[in-house]
Amino acid sequence: MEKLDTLVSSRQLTVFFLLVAPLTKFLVLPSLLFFTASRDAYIVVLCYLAIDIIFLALMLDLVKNDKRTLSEILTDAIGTVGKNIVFVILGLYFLLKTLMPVLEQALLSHNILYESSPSLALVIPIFAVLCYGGIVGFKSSFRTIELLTMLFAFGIVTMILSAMFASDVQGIFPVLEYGVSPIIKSLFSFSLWFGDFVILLPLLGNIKKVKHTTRNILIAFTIGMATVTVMYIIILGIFGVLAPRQLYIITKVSKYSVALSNLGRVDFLFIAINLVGMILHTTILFTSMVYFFHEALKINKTIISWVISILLLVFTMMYLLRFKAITNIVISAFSYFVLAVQYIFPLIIYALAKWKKALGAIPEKSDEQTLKTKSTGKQQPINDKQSPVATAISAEGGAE
Amino acid sequence: MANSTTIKTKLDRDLTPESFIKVKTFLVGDLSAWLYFSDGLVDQSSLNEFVIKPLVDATHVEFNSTTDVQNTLLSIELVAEPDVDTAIMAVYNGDSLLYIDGFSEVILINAKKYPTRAVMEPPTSTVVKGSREGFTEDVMTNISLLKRRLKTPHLKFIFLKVGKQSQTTVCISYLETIADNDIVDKIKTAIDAISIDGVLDSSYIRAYLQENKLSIFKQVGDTEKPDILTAKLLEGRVAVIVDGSPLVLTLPFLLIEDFQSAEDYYSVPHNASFLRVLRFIAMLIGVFTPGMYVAFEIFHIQFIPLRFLLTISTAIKGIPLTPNVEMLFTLFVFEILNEASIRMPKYVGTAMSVVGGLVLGDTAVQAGIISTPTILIVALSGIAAYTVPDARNTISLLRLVFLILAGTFGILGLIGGTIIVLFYLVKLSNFGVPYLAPYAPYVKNDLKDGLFKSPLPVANDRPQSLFNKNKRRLLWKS
Repeated sequence: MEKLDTLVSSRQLTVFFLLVAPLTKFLVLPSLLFFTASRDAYIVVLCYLAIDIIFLALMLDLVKNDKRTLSEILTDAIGTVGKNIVFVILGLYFLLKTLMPVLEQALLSHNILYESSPSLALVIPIFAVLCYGGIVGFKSSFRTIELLTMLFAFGIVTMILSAMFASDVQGIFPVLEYGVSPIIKSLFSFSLWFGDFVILLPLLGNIKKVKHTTRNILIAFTIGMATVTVMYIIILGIFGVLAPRQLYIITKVSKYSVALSNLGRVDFLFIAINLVGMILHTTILFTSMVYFFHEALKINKTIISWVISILLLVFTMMYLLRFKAITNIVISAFSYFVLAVQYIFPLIIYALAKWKKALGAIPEKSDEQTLKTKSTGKQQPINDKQSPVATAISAEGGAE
Repeated sequence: MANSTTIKTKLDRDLTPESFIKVKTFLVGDLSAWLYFSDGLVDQSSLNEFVIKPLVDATHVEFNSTTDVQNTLLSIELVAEPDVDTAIMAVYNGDSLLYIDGFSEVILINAKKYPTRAVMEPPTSTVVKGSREGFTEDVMTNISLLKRRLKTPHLKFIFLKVGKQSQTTVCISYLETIADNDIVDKIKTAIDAISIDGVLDSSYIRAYLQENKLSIFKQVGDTEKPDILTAKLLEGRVAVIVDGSPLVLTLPFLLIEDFQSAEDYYSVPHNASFLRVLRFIAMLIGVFTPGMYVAFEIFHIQFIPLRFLLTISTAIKGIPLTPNVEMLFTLFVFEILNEASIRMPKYVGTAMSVVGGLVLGDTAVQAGIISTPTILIVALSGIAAYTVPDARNTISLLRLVFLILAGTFGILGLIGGTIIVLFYLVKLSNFGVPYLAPYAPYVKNDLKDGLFKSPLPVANDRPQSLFNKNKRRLLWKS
């Protein structure tokens, strides 16, 4: 994995939150949410929108006002040993975050996409992407997402358009038919599919900011989650009480589209496009896992932490595939761990960053003077001549 | 400084008739003189008229040094060379060498003349509208074509000799007010470091300028047309002209350049945009169609509309080969035909097309070895690849890779392969410039000459993806 300097632009993050992050919520999650929260599944999504946007704002505040990497923030606050422990926990958290989408994609392929499926060896291409993505690092994944912006927009818009005309939005009523307890239960159970702001943790200190970075990303995230909400309402309008039984709902929403019925299953085209987005999202999660294990173990060669991450992922997946109700196991066994790491860790990290700064223990740094590297944290003078592309991107927005 | 005996001995040792070197001996006043030249590279009548005759006739002049010779031979380009070894190499490069007995240095005379091809339209970049001039194999002709288009003192040339045996002239050209000095230096250093017996074509140099040597993707641009080269120099790129090759290299190179054609700039922007998008779609068809067809046929029958599926199933009925083997076989035959028709003389090439396309294809279908949809897919994919001629070889290789992936893993193989290729491409850079700019990373200004082309007066700035000193291309007169 390459150094994280001048890594991810705010535009790439905006596209990620707007078009890629929502995709992971369209495979298994709808049926699980409809099963637990019934008609109020979309309210769960709205609740997560409200919660996650606060955490996203906190992370973006760190991005804006603190130029340190997560490694530096934690080392300054709790020392190297403390930082390493936190990074191992974060590595395990990202292992779970990676595991679930990989399983979902593999099962989707196995059960739906393939008419004559050879075996779960189908997952090999997904693993190949994860492995290569783990080697080439965050920059390649985010740039690829940026490159495919129009494709993802096309995929999501087509999916919504192909489904919405067959949907009866009256299906959302009555609201809160079973009270708020199913919603609260869902909030505790399905956090693994939400909390997209965590991908900012490994990127802290390495995000190229332009004018209105915070505003743009928050708006993108809101629109992205609003799209998910709308889609859930549409799904409910199409399937009604049968919604919990539609396991890979993304493949079924356009079944009743009159416009598409004469063209064959062309909806598989946008399913394939959305699958690209999901795989890229998973790659970023896997790369985060490699990053945290690498930083915690402090092994010189990244390839070793990369191999450890792959082995962990493969063995966990092979172990879980022995069970039929994999999703339930993941939800029940790990939901509190996920909740704690996803929502308490960022709060603590934010507090630690602000607390040490407030004490004046951390000297202020500026972009003009230093640029951080990922692994060593050593300061390097910025070259006199900046990459022309970096200059061009800066020129479009100016400093925030 | 060598003495006259040593010089003469060296000359007689290294400039021999066995190396096709001729020697003319004559008297300059009371002194013996020898004129060495490489037969076939020199205009002998010029030597007789402007060198031998004036020297023999100058009986009133006392020749004591090379300066006296220079003062006598005013009608021809010459230079005194104290280093005999350098002078000997120059003779093999086409210069003539004059040595007068007793002198401590030799004189090099430029009377080069060798057969060159005329300036004509290059077969690889024909245009309906626009300039039809193309580069030739002669480096000086190519430089003159360039100088005719850029009449500025800022157009600079750096000459280098590469190849221990071939001593090929390599010229780096750039506009010093626009091109980045670091890139020029890097290219010069890279070419200087080349240690090779011979450079027979610019592709030899290209191999050394590629940052990623094993990549199947083109990392160095090339053109056979001076108007294209001029446009690239004006954008801040650097050219490498190699003697003996009509293909001039340009650096840095971006992938988008493969979708741009010279004619795009001579037609209306909407038309240019349409053609660029068409080329891009054709490239996608060229790469993905065979793989997608095989994946659908083997794994995802449900993707194919029912009526279309019925047609296909009728066509493939009785075909003994599996879809992926059938497609591989047909692609293999297509590539053989393609290679044969390129190498064959034109009149045989036409016959080859008839035999290959009609007889072979038709017979194979009638014999029930391959199906008509497969032939259709291969033909579509093959023709589509030709819309981006510079990337044809890359498209062919990718097509094969994606076909194997699709035949093994279905749509997931295609998706996984595509993402991995994209990861690779977005990571690739060329002299510090991202290969997929202006799309990844996104550079808004450069989109004016991306897949969609803006009118020329709107494209005020040079590409910001490239390093260049002067960003502004167009200033409106007030």
